[in-house]
Amino acid sequence: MAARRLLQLAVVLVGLSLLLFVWVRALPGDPAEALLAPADQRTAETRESARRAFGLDRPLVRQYADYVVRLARFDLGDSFTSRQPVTTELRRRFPATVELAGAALVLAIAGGVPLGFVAARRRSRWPDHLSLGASLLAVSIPSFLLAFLLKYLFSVELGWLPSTGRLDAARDVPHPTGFYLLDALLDLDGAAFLDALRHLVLPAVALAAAPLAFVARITRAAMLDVAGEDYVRTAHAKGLAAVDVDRGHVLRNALLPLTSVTGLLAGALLSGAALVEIVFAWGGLGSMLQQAIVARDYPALQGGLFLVALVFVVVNLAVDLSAPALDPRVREAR
Amino acid sequence: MSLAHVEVLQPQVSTGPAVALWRRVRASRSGMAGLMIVGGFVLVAVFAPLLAPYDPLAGDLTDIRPGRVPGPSAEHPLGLDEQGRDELSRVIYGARHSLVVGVGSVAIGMMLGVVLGALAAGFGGWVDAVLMRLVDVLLAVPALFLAIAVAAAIGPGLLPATIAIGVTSAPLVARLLRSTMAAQLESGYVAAATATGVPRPRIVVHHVLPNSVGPVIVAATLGMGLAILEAAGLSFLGLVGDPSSPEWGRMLAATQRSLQTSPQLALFPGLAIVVVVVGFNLLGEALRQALDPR
Repeated sequence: MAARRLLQLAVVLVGLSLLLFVWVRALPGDPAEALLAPADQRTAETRESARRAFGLDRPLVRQYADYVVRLARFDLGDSFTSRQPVTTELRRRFPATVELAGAALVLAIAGGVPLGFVAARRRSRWPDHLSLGASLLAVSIPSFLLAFLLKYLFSVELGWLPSTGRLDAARDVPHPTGFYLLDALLDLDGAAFLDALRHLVLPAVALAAAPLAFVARITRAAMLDVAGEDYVRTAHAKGLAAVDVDRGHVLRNALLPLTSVTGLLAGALLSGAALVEIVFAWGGLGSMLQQAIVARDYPALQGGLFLVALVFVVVNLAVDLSAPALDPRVREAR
Repeated sequence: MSLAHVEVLQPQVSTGPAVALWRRVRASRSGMAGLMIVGGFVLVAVFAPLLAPYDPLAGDLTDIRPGRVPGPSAEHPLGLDEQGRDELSRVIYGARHSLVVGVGSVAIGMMLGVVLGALAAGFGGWVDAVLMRLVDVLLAVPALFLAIAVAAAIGPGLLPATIAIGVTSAPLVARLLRSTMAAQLESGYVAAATATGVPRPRIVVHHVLPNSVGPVIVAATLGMGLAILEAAGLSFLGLVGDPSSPEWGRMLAATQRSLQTSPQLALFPGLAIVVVVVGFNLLGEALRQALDPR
């Protein structure tokens, strides 16, 4: 199965590169136009030379071949706007987005699983209804609106937490990895770690709310499914305490479906981060891609989207491949 | 005597799946609450010109000072926005935009998704493999960026946003329908139909497809809520229409600067989005339970 999945991955990646290549070029507007000097100074010659400089005058097939060959070498080309290699920009921005999405994923699972557990144990009683109501609200509120509300309440009104950025502007720490929490730890700088953490709280909560509700509902539904199994009745019959049965037998088996949705969740968090990043001026991939679309910066756009899609595909592959390790039943079914 | 027979048999005459579904939804309190919210939302959207007390685009700047707008009053129940426009009228007209984007994008997503999913399940084999890899590729691109790119390609406006959201929802519908149909194709009635010589295309279109629409209906209802959320996100980024048009997401974005002085301008469009999406989610959940009682 692993070989089959890897082959599928290859097909998906080729399709993806082709899709991104065609679609980015299908955007109307000419990067040579978008980047040239003011309209009155444009001439046919300057436009031509700009197109030549960006390699846009060559046949599309050649452009695609070049792009794929360089992609295989992790060379994403130079950004049209900054003239810097796209990988440089990504190395700075990607850790920011991953840090935010990762923190949100941890929050979603650490909060959602206990919430779903309690809701399933107290089915149709008030904890269940409360959890259902809260989940409903959490999936119905736009992430940027929640980000707004949190920012307004906790930084504007109460002043407890910072409202923008990833660190205080005055603070200067080395960023070998780009993950500020990790960087601060490596630097053994406790104050910087706390500062980065304080900046992370509000965006992570805003981003985590909907996935947390989703995880809670999945956990609850899976637990109720498992609760009817024979081995659960056996465990009760041999006199185990109800809470031990629920924790050791029901929850343990209910967590399996949760691992399979974690992949989808990771993708949703990476893309959902964009709006939250903009509200909190987070400086991640979201704002980079938004700017790249406006400027028709093909390499930045292709590179950034390819990276996001790649992470999504790889995470899902890892989830699929780990299923047999986690669940003996999957191992036997093959 | 034969008359008595007819009377006895009458209650057993099949009422059709739609009536049975309606009975189960009506029995659910939260489902009815969702239906009422959705119904109210549709009515407000359709009759916006009759309900809105003022023109949502015409502003009166006489009472507007920088950083301070008049709050709720008798003439303007929700106050005025920064351009001196009646907030209530703008929230009411905003329902129209949300309804158009929601219905349009769900229709597009359903059409594309149902065609893709039905072809994949119906043909199986390499058609299935190719179409599902295509779905994988589409799923790997974050929906929001796909939507931004479509909106950027056709230009900002209500129609591009609708198309963008519709296209991005299609792969999920395709996958859902395919798996439902694949399960149906294994069932006894398909074997029976095949055994009696019904051609496969007829089995797929006339028997399997109608039996598989349940989850798609649920997905469409929940998809309306998602579409309204996504449209709000796009219009928050300024990608839906012109800046003055009364869209809930855009109205929220416009309040970013005046959050401290007049939070009520963020409250009402935000509340409108949340209430309507809650309505669609309640209704969708009730439909799901009605179709799959467990």
